[in-house]
Amino acid sequence: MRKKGFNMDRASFFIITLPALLLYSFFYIYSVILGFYYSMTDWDGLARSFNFIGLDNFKKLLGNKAFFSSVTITFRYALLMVVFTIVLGVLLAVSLNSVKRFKTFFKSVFFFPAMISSVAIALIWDQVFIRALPALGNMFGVENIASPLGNKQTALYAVLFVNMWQSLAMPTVIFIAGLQSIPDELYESALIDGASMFDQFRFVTLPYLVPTITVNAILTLKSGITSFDYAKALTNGGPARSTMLVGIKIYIDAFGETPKFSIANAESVMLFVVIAVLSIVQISISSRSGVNNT
Amino acid sequence: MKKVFALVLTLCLLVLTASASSAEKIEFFQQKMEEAPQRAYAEVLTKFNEEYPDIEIEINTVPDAGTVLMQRIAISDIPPIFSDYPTQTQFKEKVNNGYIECLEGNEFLSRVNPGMIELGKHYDGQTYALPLSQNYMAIFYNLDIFAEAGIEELPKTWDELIAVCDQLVSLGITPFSFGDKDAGRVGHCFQALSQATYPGVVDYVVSVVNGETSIADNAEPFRKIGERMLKLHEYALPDYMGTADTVMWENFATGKAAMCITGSYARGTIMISNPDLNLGAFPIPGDVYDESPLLTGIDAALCISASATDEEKDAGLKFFEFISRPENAQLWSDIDGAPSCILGTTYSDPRVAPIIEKAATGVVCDWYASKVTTQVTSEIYQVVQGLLLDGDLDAYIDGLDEAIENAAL
Repeated sequence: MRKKGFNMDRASFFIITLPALLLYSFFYIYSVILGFYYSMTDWDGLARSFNFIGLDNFKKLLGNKAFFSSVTITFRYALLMVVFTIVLGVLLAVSLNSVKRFKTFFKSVFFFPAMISSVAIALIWDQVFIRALPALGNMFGVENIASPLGNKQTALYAVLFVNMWQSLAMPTVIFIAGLQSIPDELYESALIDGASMFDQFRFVTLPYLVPTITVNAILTLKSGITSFDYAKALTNGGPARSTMLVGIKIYIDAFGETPKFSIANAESVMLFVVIAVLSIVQISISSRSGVNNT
Repeated sequence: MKKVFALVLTLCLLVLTASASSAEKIEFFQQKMEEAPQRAYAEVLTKFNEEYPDIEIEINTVPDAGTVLMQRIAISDIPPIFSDYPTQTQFKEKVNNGYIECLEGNEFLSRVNPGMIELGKHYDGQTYALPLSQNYMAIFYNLDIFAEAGIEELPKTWDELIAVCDQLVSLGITPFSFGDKDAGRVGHCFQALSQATYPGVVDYVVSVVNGETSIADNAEPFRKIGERMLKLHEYALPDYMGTADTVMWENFATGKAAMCITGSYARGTIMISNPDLNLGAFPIPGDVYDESPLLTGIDAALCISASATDEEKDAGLKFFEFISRPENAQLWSDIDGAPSCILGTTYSDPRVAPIIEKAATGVVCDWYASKVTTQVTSEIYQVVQGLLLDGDLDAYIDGLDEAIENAAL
């Protein structure tokens, strides 16, 4: 009887999971396999027939300066995003966690941007940069403040700023959850031992946060490398390619007015491999440290 | 009883919903995002619906329309009726792959200016799109500001244009409003200025694309074009690199600058921003007036998907017949602001007479995309945008060669 009941449970779970599994398999796994396949063809996205050309698209990409420039920009963007997310997220989480009154209110305020669509936020900030910033400058007697989006040196940072403004909320919530898992006794012991605030942070808080930092770093790195919406809405890869993230390049190559669908797929495959490798490396390094592994 | 009643009611609602949704709308995917053409199409369609109440055509306008259309073609979701640019190589590719219905044999084609029909023909000599309007690149100017500054003669050469700019600056007036945030707008200005400065520029770029030569091998004319781009921007409102096209037009329409280099596609939108604006236009000058071509081409052109149903094709043809009637084409042109390709329409605003005069001389040229892929033009635009940021002419010359190489991927 017990065995039968157990099997019934398993069957129920399986049936409940089945629709999601089928949808996931069709829309994700099948698409990925198709993507790999098209990356080895010469299909431009328009032609009704195409040829299998093996690794030619990858060879072309390895010799293409524009692609490498996009890769470099994307990595710079993703690494900056990881650094800022970890540093600002931890600071914000510690601050919010130590607030005694109106804690929920402050958390809501910081979480609010995460509720708005990224494109809507990008368009709002676009107007802030072009209209509000010069007006603000004039108020303080500084004339001709230019939009940071129109400058090669600042455009990427401006896009990053807008991205961070919205996306910092979620990592902060994860950090707060991590902070709340730290036993109060440890802080009390540290206090008795004469530990300063910084020592408490360094020797109690940080080791407990390592797993959370790992999760956030991986999620942020992935989000940075695959970033598309903010740069697309704010700069469309410009000015002069300075914000041409790989995501935008893939989009333009796939669906531009002169499409190169197979090349775009090859770029996506390369991005996929990079993300997979980075994730494995990062998980393996991070899992060796932290309070749970000591 | 209650259950039976509820069931009958539900069935009635289902039938009603089904019948309501069976009155299918036929999509018209039009690619122009500017406000004026959207209004023009809406106005003509309202009239069309009065004459054909059983045909419901719905306009669909989306941002980044060219890309969206390409995506839809890739997944075989082609809009039954859409607008496109028949002189561009990307359009010819669509025709080559059998996505577009041939329009030959339709009587409404005889209403179109034969020159425009000829220009829009495919390699096989057939017509696949109904040319509705022409575009041109020009220097749009504020007549009131010019009058206040005492400028009586419009500049016909580059030196005269610079003299006008200097005169405006000496009176504290900013000559140009630019919006270079979007590389596409930088590119339109570059296309017009480069062809006015160096009339053989597109053919030369074609030979570079074909690997026969390089920009560096003939750097001088390209350097001159680059210098002129930089020179014009010396006379611009500040923060032009952070300014979007809509803001550029708004700044010009509200009198913050005396001139704006843009296409006829923006004329209607500028006038919507300020209906009282005294707006004129003149060709972008080169060194010698008679030798500097006016950049002009087919702007809006309408096509039907080859995979549309017979009903959709029939509706499309009726719509084309309707919009190509001179009175409707005139209505469209008046709202859009661009000259119509339909015979019997007029574009008689004396303030744009310099453009009409120039076009009449036959010294005209088409857009780069009629001879090279849009990938090449997009790459070139990025380099020119970089020039405006850095002012580095050597990097710009090297960048042009690199851009053409990148586009060959």
